Amino acid sequence: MRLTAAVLLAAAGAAALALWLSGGHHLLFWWAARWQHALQDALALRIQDIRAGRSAAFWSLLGLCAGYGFLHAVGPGHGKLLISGAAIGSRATAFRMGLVAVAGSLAQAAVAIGLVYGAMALLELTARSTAEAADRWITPVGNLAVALVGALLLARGLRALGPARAGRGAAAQGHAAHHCGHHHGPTAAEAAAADSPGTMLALIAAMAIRPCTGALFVLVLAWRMDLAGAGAAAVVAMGLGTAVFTLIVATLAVAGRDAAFLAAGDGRAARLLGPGLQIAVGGLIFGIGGTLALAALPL
Amino acid sequence: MRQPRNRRPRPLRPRLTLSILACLLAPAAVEAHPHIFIDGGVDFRFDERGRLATLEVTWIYDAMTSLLMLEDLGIDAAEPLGASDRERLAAYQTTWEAGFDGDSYLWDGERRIGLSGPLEPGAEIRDGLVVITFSREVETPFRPGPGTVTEIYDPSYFTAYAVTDIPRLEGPVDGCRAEVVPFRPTASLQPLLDRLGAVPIDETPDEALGRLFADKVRLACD
Repeated sequence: MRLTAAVLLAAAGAAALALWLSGGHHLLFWWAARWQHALQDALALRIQDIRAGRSAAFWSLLGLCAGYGFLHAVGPGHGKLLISGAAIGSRATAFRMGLVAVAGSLAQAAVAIGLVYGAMALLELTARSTAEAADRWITPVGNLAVALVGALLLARGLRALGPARAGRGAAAQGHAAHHCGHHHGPTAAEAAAADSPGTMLALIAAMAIRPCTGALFVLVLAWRMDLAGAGAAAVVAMGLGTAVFTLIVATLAVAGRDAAFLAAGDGRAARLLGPGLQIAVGGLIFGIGGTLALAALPL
Repeated sequence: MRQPRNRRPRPLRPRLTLSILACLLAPAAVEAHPHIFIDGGVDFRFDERGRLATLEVTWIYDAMTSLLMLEDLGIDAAEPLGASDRERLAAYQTTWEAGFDGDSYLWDGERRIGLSGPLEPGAEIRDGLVVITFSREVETPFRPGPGTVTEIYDPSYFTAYAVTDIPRLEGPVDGCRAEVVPFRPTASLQPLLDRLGAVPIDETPDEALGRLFADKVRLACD
């Protein structure tokens, strides 16, 4: 069983590396852009139809938006970076990570609606200043939120390397008696660290704070055409579509992490794996978020 | 991810909704998908000495961007386009800010040929889509050779261009021909590797992604 896990893990890693080295991920990106064009045209058509009074177009718009949200999420983005990083760098269950993925995607839709409708409502008075304020603050705040999640993971990893190692060792001994294939459930202490409400909320907030571009397009257009309600519904549908893909990413990340722990067995490697992953992933996310937050400062 | 210092003016001039949108998008542009799609192409005008003198550019905007633009300008796509609306629409996309290169690049071999800003701006609405035309004068007219190529792209890939029109040649063009070389995803793995091997996830490299996926128009004279 452990060998199977190791082989599967190695195969998945090799496939990802091959895709990356071949440049294949950029072709995926190009492919996604072509779909985006087709979907964007279709969205525009539905919005025109709704304004022309064709009510069936509303449901068609919702369906399209869900598809759009899913496809949009396929591209590179901070949401998936955060969710997969947090899943790998913690022992949170797939269910918990899934909840965060869905909540983050829906919160992202809510932020987009609030932001655009808020800005548009104020448009007549303070068009430029609203836009400039949004531009000046959202970028650094969003990047800081990403950096914060990275720092949380990093700190937890470093803490786990200290006194927690003894606890982890005892847990491992307990596991040794289990049947092969039994899920390596986290100990109470581990679960508490991974699923702390603060971390979960930080994750959701960091995902939510950077609204999806496609949603902004739909909302601006809907507001201008006096279809604010339809626009909001469409963006929530979009968020659900995004949630599905993010959910898949979260599940895969948890599965990959569990396979890694299974492959590592119960020895010294296993004791170092958890904190090691946390430190590596946390450092990466902190580095990306922090660099961008610094770059966005108006120096 | 796009950073402020990489941000540059775009043909979408900051006005009303689009200005709000552009500013809201700036942080979101971290997900570096293109969100404006422009079809069209480029025609070539030769001078009396048979040298390439002018590029004539056509931009056909996607339905969503067209709608946004027309909403912003208060133009009803169902009505015939009046003279003043036509002028406003053309000016909307052909009033460029300093530093914007116009997303069309002319090369003669390794040499980048300078192009003027947009001249002779024109606009129409075709099947609900906004079509913008303008010309760009070649700063030093020259006889095209085997290495003459026009690349149409937005370096940041916020706008994705596609050459969909067959290029026309105007003037004394004997012995000259133009050919569209579309981006082919299957043929470009090696250049991808060379150019983008070191690009971290979540980041759109300036001067890389857009050009990488660019359609090209080759122009050659005997």
